[in-house]
Order: sequence, then structure tokens, then C-alpha cells
Amino acid sequence: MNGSFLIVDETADSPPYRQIVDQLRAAIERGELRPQMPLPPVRQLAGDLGVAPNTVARAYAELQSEGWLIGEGRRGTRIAARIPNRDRHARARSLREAVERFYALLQTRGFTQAEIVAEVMRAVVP
Amino acid sequence: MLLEHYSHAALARILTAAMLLFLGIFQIVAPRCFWGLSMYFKGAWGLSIGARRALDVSQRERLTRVLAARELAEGDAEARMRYVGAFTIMMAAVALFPAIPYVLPYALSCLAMAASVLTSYLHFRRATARRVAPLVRRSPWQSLPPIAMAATAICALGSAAFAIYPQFRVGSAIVVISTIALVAVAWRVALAPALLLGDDAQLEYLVDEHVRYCRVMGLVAQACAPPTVLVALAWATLPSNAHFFDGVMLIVALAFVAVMVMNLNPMRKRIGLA
Repeated sequence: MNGSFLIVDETADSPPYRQIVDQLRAAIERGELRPQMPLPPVRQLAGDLGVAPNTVARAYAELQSEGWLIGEGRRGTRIAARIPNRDRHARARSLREAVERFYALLQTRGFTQAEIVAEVMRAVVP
Repeated sequence: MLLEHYSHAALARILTAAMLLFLGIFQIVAPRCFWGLSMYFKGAWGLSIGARRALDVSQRERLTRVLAARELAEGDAEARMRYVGAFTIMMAAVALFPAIPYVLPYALSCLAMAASVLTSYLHFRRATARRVAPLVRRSPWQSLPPIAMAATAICALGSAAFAIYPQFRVGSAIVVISTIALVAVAWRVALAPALLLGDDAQLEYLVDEHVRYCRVMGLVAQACAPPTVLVALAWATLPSNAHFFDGVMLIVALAFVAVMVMNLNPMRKRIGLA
């Protein structure tokens, strides 16, 4: 299997619903989830992730309203044929928010700014 | 000979008790033979024989790591299997009581084994705060093929047919109930969530699918065994003109063989490790 995986961490700051939305959107943007690819049913995904079905349903609904997913009733949910044309500002804002969340999380774990920057540089330029 | 003094029913009772005693001792002495995950990965997976497709050293190490982590997450399954062994030995003693149908202790020991499998899954689900899900649709029929369900139904119906004889009525009722209960547990395991820790998600998913298939088919084989044994023992006592039951015996035996073949050949997929 070469598919993607979703990870929900109960100890993370963001709620499970937000973790699912962010990871699905990121996987679609990276091309790991191809257009028209079927997604697991709400109940299956909720069971695997140990969350309530409503949590997954809410995440799917948000991504559908944004155009990332297509709901096909009883046939389930698929990745949209065309991913939404997000404008430059939206992309930049999304990146900034992700970096801010990441930075804040590491700060709460006691890492200094210098340590975080050095580690990011090491990861980006090995 | 000494055995000539016993009736068919008494012989069946002694045979059942001896088999349960042996099984119980084996479960206590070598619990990993009934539960250890690595036994599902011999041969085809290349851990020991490598008949179909051997893994290289690094893949083997990955697999060993994933299996060790999963065994840890499933809790102390060895201890659970030893409890099942002790219960099975108790059932061996119960099988000797003439007032109790001998298939009842056999069916109960099968259910105890099934309960230990289900407990492993429940333990794993509570073992970690982080949950990982593969983004693929699964169907319970991947682990529980319809042909296995059909074969199980044939075994159960075959034993139910013997209920027309008063002496087999209670036994066949017990066997049918235990078969339904075991299939229900197998279905529950087939529907169980994917259990991944996320350290090596891709391999963990392959392992989860394979373990699920092996366990479900093991439960199906257990579900088929009591009716097959009952049909064989009951058929042996029937008069030679009961031709209908010759056919029943043959069909049940074929169904049981089909399930055993499916059980012995669980390697459905080649490993696609990156």
C-alpha cells in the first residue's frame, strides 16, 4: 500500500477535527491523495482514529464546503477532481498559521528560538 | 480390547476430554503457538523459510520491530492464553460428566480462545493516545471471505440436520449456537479498527491486515470444528441405510476442508515494502 495515513494525537493542542482537516488538505496539496480517490467512510475512519463519527463528518463537511472533497451520498466521499484555486494570500496565510502553530508548540515544550531555527535549518538543508 | 466395552458416546466423550486436556496443556506450556504474532509471518513472509519471497535483512528488522511493538501494545497475551489453557483443562474434566453433552465444553473452550483474541484488540485500542488511520476503504469481506462464511453455514446446517434424532438434539443445538457466537466474534474482529502505532505506518498496516485475516480465519476454523466433529461422530452411529446423512457428512467434510485450506494459505498479498 502506498497510501497516506492520518494521525490524531489526543495530547496535541489542536482538536482532532482540526488535525483531520489540516492533514487531509496537506495530503491533497502534496499530491499524496489523487483526484477522484475514494476516502474511507466516516465510521471506519472514526473507528481507526478513536474519535466520534461526528468529528470525522464535520471535517469532511468543512473540506467539502471548501471544494477539497466531493460527497456522493451513499457512495461515500472522494477527493475533488480539481483542488480549489486558493489565491496567493490564502496560501501564504495558511503557511504562516501552520508555522506559528508549530513554533508555539515547540516553545511550550521549552525549546529556545535559536534551537528551533537551527533544527529547522538542519532539516531543510541537510 | 479395552475400548470395546465403551459405547460410541462414551468413546466420543473420552476422546473429547483427552483432546481438550492436550490442548489445555499445550496452551499453558507454549502460549505463543496460539497467540504469538510472528507465527503469522513465517514462510511466505520470509522470516524463517522464505519460500515465496524472502525479505532482506533491513526489511526483516523492520518487521521484527513492528511485531514487537504490536505485541507490547496488545498486552500480556501470553498470560491470557495460559488462563485459556487452564479453562480448557477444566473443560476436559467437565467433558467426562455423562450428564453434560460433550460438545458443550469443546464449544466453550473455543469461545474462550475467541474471547482472548478480542481482548488483544481491546487492549491495543487503549494502549496509545495517538491513533493512526490508513486513508483507504476497507471491507470486512477482505478478512472474512464469503466462501468461508458459506462453508461455516454448511457446517452449522449439517449439524442442525442431525437434530431430527433425539439423541443428537441438544448437542446440535449447542454446536449451532457456538458456531454462530464464534462467527459473530470473527465478524467483530474483521470490522475492528486498524490498529497502528504510527512509527512505521505502512508496514504496520500490512501487518494489521495480515494478522486480522489470520485471526479471523482461525476463528472461522474454530467455528467449523465443533459441527464437523459432531457430524462425524453422529454419522458413525447411524444405520447404514441413512443415505441422506452420508451426503450431509460428505458436504460438511468438504466445507471443513475448504476452510482449513483457506486457513493454511493465508498469504494473499505479496509484500510491497519500500
